Amino acid sequence: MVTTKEILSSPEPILPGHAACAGCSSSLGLRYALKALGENVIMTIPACCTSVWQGPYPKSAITVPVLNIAFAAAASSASGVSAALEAKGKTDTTVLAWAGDGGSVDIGLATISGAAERNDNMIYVTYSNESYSNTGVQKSGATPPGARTTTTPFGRIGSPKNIALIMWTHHLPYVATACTSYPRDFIGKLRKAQQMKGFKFIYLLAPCAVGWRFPAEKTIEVGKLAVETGAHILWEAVDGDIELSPLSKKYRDPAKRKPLEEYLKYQGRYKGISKELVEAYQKYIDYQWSIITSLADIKK
Amino acid sequence: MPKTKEEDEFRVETWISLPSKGSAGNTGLWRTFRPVINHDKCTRCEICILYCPEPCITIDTEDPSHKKGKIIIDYDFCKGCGICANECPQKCIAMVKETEFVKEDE
Amino acid sequence: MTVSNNRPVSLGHEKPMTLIISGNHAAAYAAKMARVEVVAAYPITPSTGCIEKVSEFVDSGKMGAKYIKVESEHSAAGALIGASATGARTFSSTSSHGLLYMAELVWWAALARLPTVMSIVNRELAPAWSIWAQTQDSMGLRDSGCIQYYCKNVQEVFDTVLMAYKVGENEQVYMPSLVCQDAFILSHTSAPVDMPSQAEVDDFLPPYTPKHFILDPKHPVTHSNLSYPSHFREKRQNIMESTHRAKQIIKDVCADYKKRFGRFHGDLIETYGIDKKTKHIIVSHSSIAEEIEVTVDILKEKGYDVGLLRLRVLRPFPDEEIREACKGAETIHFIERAPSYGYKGVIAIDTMAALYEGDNHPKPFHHIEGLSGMDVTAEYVADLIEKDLASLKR
Repeated sequence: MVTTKEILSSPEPILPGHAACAGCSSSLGLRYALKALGENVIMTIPACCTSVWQGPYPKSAITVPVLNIAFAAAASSASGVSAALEAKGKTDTTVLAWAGDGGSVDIGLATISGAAERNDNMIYVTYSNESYSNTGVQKSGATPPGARTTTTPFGRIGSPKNIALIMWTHHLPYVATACTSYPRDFIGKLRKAQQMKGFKFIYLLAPCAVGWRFPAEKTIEVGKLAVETGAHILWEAVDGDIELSPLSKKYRDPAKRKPLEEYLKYQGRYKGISKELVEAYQKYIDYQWSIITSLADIKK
Repeated sequence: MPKTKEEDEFRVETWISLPSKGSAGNTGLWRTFRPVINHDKCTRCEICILYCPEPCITIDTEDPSHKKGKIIIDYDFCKGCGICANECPQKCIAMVKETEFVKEDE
Repeated sequence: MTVSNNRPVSLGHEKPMTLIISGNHAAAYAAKMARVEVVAAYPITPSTGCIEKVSEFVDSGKMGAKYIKVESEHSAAGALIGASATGARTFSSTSSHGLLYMAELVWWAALARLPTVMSIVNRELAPAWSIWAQTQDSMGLRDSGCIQYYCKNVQEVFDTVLMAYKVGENEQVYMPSLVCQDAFILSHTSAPVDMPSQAEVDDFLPPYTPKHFILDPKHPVTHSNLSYPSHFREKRQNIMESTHRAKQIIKDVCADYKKRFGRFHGDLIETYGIDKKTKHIIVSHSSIAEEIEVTVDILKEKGYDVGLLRLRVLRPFPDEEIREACKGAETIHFIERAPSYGYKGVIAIDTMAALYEGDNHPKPFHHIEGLSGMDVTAEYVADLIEKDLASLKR
């Protein structure tokens, strides 16, 4: 695994003074992503928080080439970039599609699915703040059970889509989940993905202080609690074989997980939410663990 | 067909932005709490640099005050999110209300 | 597959030739000879034939383009944008609902100044389902900034695809182009098409080398991030200026094409039987206009002072050219496929606005004809014109 020292010594790919909210983990996530991938990268970014926080014309906080593009087109435009690079023989450039959960799980789902099925050469990162944070925190297809958003004022009913598993069913060279609170794990996964040709997918949990209503200074802590309570499972699948990441391995045993309450207590989006909905969240988490651990037993 | 002067000067212009610090201005103005490092207690572990989402914390390795140098926060851009203070293993970063510094200035 | 000069291969056109092919295949041949680098397309009737031909070219190694077999037209346009922004020459083909499904990104390509070329087979919109000709699909994107050509025959489709790259990639233009042909009437009808040799096309159409912007890690820029209102006037005026300049550039390219290959289909407009004193002018477009050439012959035979003005380019709009052609006109007769619901025909609206700015204001007669590919015959149009003119005498 990459060392903290190595992360710190690489050049800073994000320039300060951008327009992200204080404590934004998506800016932190992209900082890690570009530290992992280096300078020879072309990015596509659809409508999402990053399309705002990169800063307004004629300046940009991002130091690699960026094509901003319409909501559902992060993957398709990245396919185009990738094909053009191939046509021009510039195959050493990494193509990074960087989209939010709305642009991936919902409006862009067909587009990612298409690019994945074609195995177009790119790394696609869904940074998920589990809501449409950019438009003022509405429910997305990634919003967990019980979470309050501006369109689910009494708590989200029903279950989110597991986009990482959806992508896993596309027979991809690499699928992983990560969290902005664990940069070494995330960077390691990106570097692994970068070595492979084809469509690589990473679902990055990016806790949102504004959307989840926790104090900005708790951003890293909340992300860690998501993993420690088992709410967010870190895993990767190389060529389809699912394996729990070292950070999540021990939480396979439910007794070792922190109570979900520890994770929810900081989050205003769960304040006053009914016991039933919180239980529904716990059930959802337990079921996710059953799915992942069962799938991890299947080897090619 | 010979081009007129005006034609020669005309250029297609699209939306090109260049990487720059302060793309959204001096975001330090957004801050309500200022992270202040107790440099005596600081071990220069750089965890604050690792987790800064701006990123606006650096280490000046040339600074003579310590063998590893000195941690510097760029207050022009620091939004005061407080992640550095929260994550500091030494708990040596204090979040101080900006109004305290206004009083100081007066 | 690339050749030594790093351009995609295009095999089978070492010498000039004449092939009997459909409008769809004509567009595919032109894309191949233009040495397109990236193709992204999704099948839709009746444009499918074009991308099937491209697939055949690519998979047989005759065309060196990367062909992205996308899952929707929206993604086709998304891929074209990504590829064009990376400096590749790009091509797609679609029709009707396919074009409307990608509409968001057609605008994006135009406002981002990316000179892709698409072969559009004009098809009616549902409901009810119909697969036959109507031009509202592309005319609905009239205001996007895209250059729009409406072809009258299969040869013109082939020639116009090549010319569209030359115009769109001009460093004063950098705009996408829609090269439109009528569903089935051109897309599925075979006709002889003369093609130059590959060397001649290469000489006419050099590689795309964007000067305005490219995604390149050596020179990192961010394209199209958030912008404040104060920058919009300047950027949008730049598009206005480019599209105005495109008028002269289209004329120059058409003249150059004529010089090189001996073919000319008009530039912004094409006139038939018009001189500066022609009293009665029929304004039409696409394949109907070719039929109306016969109408003009019939009416002239009967002693009418009549001529045809075919609108070949809808955007940029040839307002001065129309005023010039209609200088002596007393009446003007619109025969067009596309209505703008709530007003009149799309072409009539623009043409009348152009005439309003001139001194001569001929009396207009409006006819929406040929909806969903209904046959519009020369005799039928002659009858319409005669009735228009008879109504004046009453």
